[in-house]
Amino acid sequence: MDDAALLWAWREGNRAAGEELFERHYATVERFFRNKVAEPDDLIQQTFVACVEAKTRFRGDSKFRTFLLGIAINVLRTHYHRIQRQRGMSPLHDTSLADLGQTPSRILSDRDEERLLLEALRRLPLQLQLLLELRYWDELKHEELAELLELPRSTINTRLRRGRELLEQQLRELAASPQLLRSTITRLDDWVEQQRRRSPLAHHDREPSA
Amino acid sequence: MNDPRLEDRLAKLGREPTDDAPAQARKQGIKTRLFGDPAPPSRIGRFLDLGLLGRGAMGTVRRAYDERLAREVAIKLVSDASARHHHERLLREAQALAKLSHPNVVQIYEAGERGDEIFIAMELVDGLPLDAWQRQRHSWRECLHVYLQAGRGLAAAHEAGLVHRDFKPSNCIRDTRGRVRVLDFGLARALDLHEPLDEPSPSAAASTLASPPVIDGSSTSIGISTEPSTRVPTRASTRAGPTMLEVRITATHTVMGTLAYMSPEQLGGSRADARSDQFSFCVALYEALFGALPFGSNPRLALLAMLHADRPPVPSFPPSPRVPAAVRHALRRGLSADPAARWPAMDPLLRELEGALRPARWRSPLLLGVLAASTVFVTATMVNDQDPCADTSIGVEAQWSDQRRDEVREALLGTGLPYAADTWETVERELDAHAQALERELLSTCRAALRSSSGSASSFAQQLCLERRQIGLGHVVELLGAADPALVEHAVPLVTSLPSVEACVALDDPSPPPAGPGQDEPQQLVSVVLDRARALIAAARYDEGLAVASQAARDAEALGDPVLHAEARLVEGRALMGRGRPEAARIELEAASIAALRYDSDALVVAASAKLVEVVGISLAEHDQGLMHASLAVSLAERPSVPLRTRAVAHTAHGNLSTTRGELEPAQHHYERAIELLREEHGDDHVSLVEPLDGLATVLRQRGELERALEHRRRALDLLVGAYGHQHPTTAFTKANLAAIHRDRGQLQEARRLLEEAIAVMVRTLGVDHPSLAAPHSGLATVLDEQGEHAKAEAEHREAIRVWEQTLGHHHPVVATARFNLAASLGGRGEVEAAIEELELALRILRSHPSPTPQLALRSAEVLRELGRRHRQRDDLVTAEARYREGIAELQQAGVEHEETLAGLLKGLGRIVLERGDAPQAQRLHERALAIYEQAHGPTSLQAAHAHRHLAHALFAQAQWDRAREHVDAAIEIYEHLGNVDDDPIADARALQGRIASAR
Repeated sequence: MDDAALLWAWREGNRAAGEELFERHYATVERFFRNKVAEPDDLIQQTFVACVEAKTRFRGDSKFRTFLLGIAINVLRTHYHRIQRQRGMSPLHDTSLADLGQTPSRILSDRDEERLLLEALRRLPLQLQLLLELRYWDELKHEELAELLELPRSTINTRLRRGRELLEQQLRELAASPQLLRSTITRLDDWVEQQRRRSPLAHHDREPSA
Repeated sequence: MNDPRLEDRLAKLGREPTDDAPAQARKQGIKTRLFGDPAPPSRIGRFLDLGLLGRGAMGTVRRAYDERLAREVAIKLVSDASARHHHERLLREAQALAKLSHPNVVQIYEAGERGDEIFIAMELVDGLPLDAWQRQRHSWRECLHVYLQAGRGLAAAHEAGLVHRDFKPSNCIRDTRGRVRVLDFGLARALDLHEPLDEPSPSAAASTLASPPVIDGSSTSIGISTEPSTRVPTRASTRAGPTMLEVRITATHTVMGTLAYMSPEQLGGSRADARSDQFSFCVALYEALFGALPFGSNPRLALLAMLHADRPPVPSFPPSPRVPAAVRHALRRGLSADPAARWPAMDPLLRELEGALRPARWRSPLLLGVLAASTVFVTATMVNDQDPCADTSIGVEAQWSDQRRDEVREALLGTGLPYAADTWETVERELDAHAQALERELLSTCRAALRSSSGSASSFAQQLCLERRQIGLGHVVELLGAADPALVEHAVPLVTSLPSVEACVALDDPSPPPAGPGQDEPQQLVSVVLDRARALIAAARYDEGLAVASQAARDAEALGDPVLHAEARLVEGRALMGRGRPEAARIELEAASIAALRYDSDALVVAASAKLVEVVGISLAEHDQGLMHASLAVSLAERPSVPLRTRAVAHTAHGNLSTTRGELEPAQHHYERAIELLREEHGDDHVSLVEPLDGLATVLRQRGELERALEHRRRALDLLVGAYGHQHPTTAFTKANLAAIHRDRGQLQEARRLLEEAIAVMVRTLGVDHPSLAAPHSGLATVLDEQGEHAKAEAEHREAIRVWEQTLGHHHPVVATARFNLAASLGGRGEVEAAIEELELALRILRSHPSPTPQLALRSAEVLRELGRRHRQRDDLVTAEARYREGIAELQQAGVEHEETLAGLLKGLGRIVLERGDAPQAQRLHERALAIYEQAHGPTSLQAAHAHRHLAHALFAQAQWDRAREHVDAAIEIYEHLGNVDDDPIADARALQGRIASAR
């Protein structure tokens, strides 16, 4: 059964169809939220729930996956607007994740390169981050990108290029000073504590030697 | 510019799989919430069916759960139709197998029936079958290690009267810790595989073979499938011809797999016995070693030839890889065509293989000399008839003689360091205690050995251990005797690093006593070398320590002792870390940890992981990786084989990491546990308690429990003073930290005293330019400011800035903060111009930061607010206003709306604007400020009161009497309610009240 048919069936109350659809597309949604929020569970769930609600119209002419990602983007926006209101911050699309203080639930890869890349992505303005990810991870076409992100189709190429440029810039900066990956020390008092912890007293450094 | 590499990396990132346990759990959780619970599970016998593990040719293998014993098991379901005929036999075989319990045989738990099917419940093993394992190249030693285990399993089964009949690599599993187990014993017979037909049966035996239940699901389904034969077999003799079997074998690729390991007599139709297993074993081992089958890829012809020919084929051995002659010899014999020519049983074969693993002669003359010396004196004691044990103390006395004692004292005091005398006191005390304990234990071990005439295994191990301690003592004394100032600084850690004598006595060596004293001598020598490396590291001689440890690692590898090799790499890692090379240290430590896990050396895993917490989690700031190591260390630490000291190290490391991550609860828990363990091991007064005590103090301080934080840090300081004296930089550092707590509690004088002492010692011992001095200077400066001694404070501020600039550069944010503090100090003395200068510098630094964050913006805003205030003090209202506006803009740009700093800026700006005459704007500003203060501090706070007052002024200026009165009344109400408020604001408010009253 194709995705559209499964969706109709699910909306009609067919649980097995919903499960099948879930299995097919879970990975895409999880990957979308994985490096954007600390606790993706609720948002992943909301995305699927929104799918099945009558309000969201799926005309069946575009790919289901694109439709699903569109929902995910909306869920993400709503989530961030909520945070914005709590923190009183400026419009969403210019803010980057690094500012919002959202740290991903786990580091995807323990290799420095990939970690850097993820962090660099998070420092881009959200719109550009989304653009790059949807293009390279989900391989959406320019039309689909334009539709999902509500941008003029003709500007997609330019924006992608801009995104890549910014990304490279961030990578260079991050590579130059890995401490930037973690917050800088601001409380003077803690400076002393920090120093102590970096160079623990030698005589405690014991190991088994029978 | 299109960087294709970047695009590739981006794409690759998206393909990262998420199939680890937490991700699976998350997915399952979401699915359950969306769709409800899945259907209740089914059962197999009394076991709960948890799902499919793999499919074999014999049937399926499922994962199941035994509720009674709370463990997971693997269940093989034999459902082939013709197996029904063999139910009885199958169950009987399973029963026989269930009685066999051996570490190298997969344990059968139960067998039973479920409808038409027979099920066999067995141990669930997480690992790889050997055919997968040996597809990768391994050294001949590793192959031997693995196959020796399988061989022992076979031997045990033979002993119990069982024969495997289908031994092959896919029937052996190697689990994640390196243990090998054999599977599927006797099942081949139970299902009548490879057996001659001794009774007529209407259909040929179903002879599909099982695949091992491996978790990774890559079950190798090799089997012989047969068509039901319509031929009625004739009554078989014990030696049915190959033709019958040939008919029963289909010529598929899969057949080759099984045939590859089959013995000729089995192929010829004879009943298999232990020697057939031996043949199969040798084929498998050969294949593992050389990567090819001994008789070519199609052995059928060779096997048949072995049955009938006069000169049966013999396996040839390729020249490479270079496998020892003993191994080839063993294999050649095991692969003999004639069963009688093979080894009589598995045991002699295994012994021959083990012999090949024993190390070569040790060649290092120097160390041999050392050990020989001690061996000599052991022999000497045996010669002394009166009291054979009287001379045991000679060796120890030689190491810590009066002459050596003098040498060490001269060397230490001769450096003229201020803490040399204290250090000597501690060194003498520790070495005396150590030497005494050593003498005592050597004597007692000697006596015990004499009493049990044969010399028990454990006393031999103890003696070796004590001799090592003795040599170790000699190393340390030697280092101290040649001490330079750098060594004296670390003399206390050096002597406290001596491994304890008690640990030798607790030694309980389970392995059988070696054939002779020289049996594992080479390993002992390497251990001695490692002890020396450890001592060097304790003395902060990292380069030397690294060199020695590296040599030891190479030697251990040559000896083929993986655990010793791992220990050496751990020491290398510690040396590298000491040298400030965390990346290199990481490599060694991870290797050590992995090897230790493989060979079940728990204490070593804990030690390596604990160190990795520091290296990876803290030094390299990879918090999540560090947490992984910390969790591993802490969970393995509870195993009985891990010494208390090492457990404490694990908990302390976890505590340090948790503190860095701001997770105060777990940090506290771990530090407390570490302290508990160390108290148990060493009592209350041991210097090893310092680190966890100090860490605990940090955590408590951050949680606001200042009283307890003080208590613990004081205790830590006392211990340090006891070991190092007051003049040592280590003590000084802790004093500075203690001062911080006193300052938090407002005990300024005490804080000042401690800081002054600490700085004095550090300057004297480390020099004025040492980076560690900056923070204490800055801390002292703030204390002095709070005491009102601004002149002195300024000097301290400037010194802190100087050191920080020197070590971190002029543009580090810490320097900005320091200048900000200096400005406060200057301003307090009325030096407004100077204060402004510092503030401008601070602002420049903050703004020059390459990646602006909201935090930095906040700092800049604070500086701008202060600048506004100062300019106002100089009556430069224009600049003041500009600065305030800049600060507000800065915060708005960063998207900050509710910060107190913003309120302060608004208030400042409001006052200026009012003085300029723009009352409406002032009103708006003060209203905003009031809103923020009310939210941040509450509507009845002092700040809110001030805001009401200023707002009242602005309203008054616009002749809005009623509203002005409202607010000024509110202000006064709050002032009165709070009490304890300065006179000026109250007076100002009352005056305004008066003016309002008269204006109406």
